[in-house]
Amino acid sequence: MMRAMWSAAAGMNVQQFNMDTISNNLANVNTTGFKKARAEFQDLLYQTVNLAGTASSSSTSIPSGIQMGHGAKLQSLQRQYSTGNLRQTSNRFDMAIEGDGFFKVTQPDGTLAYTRDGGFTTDQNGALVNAAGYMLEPQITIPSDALSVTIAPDGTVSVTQPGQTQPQQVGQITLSHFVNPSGMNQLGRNLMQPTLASGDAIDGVPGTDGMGTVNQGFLEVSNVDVAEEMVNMIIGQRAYEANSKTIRTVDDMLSLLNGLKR
Amino acid sequence: MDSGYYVAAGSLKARSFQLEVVANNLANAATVSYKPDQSFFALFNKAGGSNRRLPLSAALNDGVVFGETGVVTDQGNLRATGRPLDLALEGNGFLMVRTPAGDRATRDGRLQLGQGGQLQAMDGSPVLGKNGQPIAVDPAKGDLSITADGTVQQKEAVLGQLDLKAFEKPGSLKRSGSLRFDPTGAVEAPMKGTVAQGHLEQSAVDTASTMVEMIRLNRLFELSLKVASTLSNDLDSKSINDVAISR
Repeated sequence: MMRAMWSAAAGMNVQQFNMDTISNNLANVNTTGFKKARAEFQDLLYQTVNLAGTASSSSTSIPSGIQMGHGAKLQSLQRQYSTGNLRQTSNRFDMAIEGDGFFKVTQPDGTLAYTRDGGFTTDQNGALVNAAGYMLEPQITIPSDALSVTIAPDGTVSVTQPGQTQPQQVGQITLSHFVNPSGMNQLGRNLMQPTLASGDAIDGVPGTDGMGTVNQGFLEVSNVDVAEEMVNMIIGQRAYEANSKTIRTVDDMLSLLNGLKR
Repeated sequence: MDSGYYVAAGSLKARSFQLEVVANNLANAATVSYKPDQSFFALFNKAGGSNRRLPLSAALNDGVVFGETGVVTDQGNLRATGRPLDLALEGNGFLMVRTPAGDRATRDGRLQLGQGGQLQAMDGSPVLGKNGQPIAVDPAKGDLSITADGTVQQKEAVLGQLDLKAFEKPGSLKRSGSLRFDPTGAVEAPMKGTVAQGHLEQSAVDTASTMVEMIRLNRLFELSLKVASTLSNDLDSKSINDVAISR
């Protein structure tokens, strides 16, 4: 009967992980470029008490056998890369990717990180940087006397300067995508890094080879759906409760057994 | 000892096994595509099959034993997730995945793209196509669509068809953990079912009836315990303390 107790404890444990994931999703309901995660469960291995097909007499065999399960386990946290809603900000350096792809920024240690958060701004030299001051890669510098900045859906950045009638192209934004974005390492601060599981970054021009397009003046909001998270929370809570009832039942039965001997 | 004592003890043991099955079902009440186990009990007649049947009554020799567990292959509810690599199976089909221990059947349709765009289960085991080979997807070629019959395509290009299999007597398939079944030795049956992309099949555990089962087994346990307690505490102690008293 102790197996029943451990199964229930394993069931409660996965629901705790589930709740952790849901609460992190809900905490990031207003985080630009945030992608919701989903806790994935599987059943644990089975102990075969009696193998199906074992002879029960010289002419018959057991049709089903006995296999005892040991509860559930957390297999992975799957991140879902569906595009969030686009929110208009009218800020000229805000960009949202519609479709696949990530912006690439250089971290202070020189390594590259990837993000869906397109809230960029300029630093003191006019270079495009994210909210933490990490430089967009490839680097784009906006001249200080630029009157207007246009970022086209294909990622070309052009400016008009005083005394000129034609806009001048000052850079080209490239995006990167991954075979398995769910396998990326989450660094926090809206940044991600590729791993063996995600595969190497595939760079490309926005709008080509399955890459999304860049929308100036928009930000991609979190793709967390509050209603869905609430439903998941209720399901998780009830599953947790059901497992706690198992533990109470085992406890009741063991106490009855102990009472057998007076 | 009174033979009734062993009948009661056998029942206690059978209920303990049943509780373990119920506990595992409840632990997986929110596990995608999980199929619950059902307990089956058998009448144990220790004199059965031999000529040692006692003259008094055959019922005195009967007891209950935990017979076997079977997988309940009820369809779980479908939940829309909108993720293109989430598949739900409707009907009696199973997806086939290749693991180091051999090919396994599963209803778990949470897929991902591995290195080289290979269609994989969550632990990286490749999902097999009709030709027995993994299916490779080029992520640069646009969105993946999987039709009701399991055909995997990107735009108009057909990349392969998922190997959907069904088995005779799916309830007696051997579980290998991680929501997988070992199909070795199982007889294939005609597949009647469809694939729903962007959906996941929820656990088929019915929490309400599982709770009722748990309450019921708890009471039956209590009942058998009363029998055992009556036999040992009341009857036996009476014989020991009162009848056999030496003056």
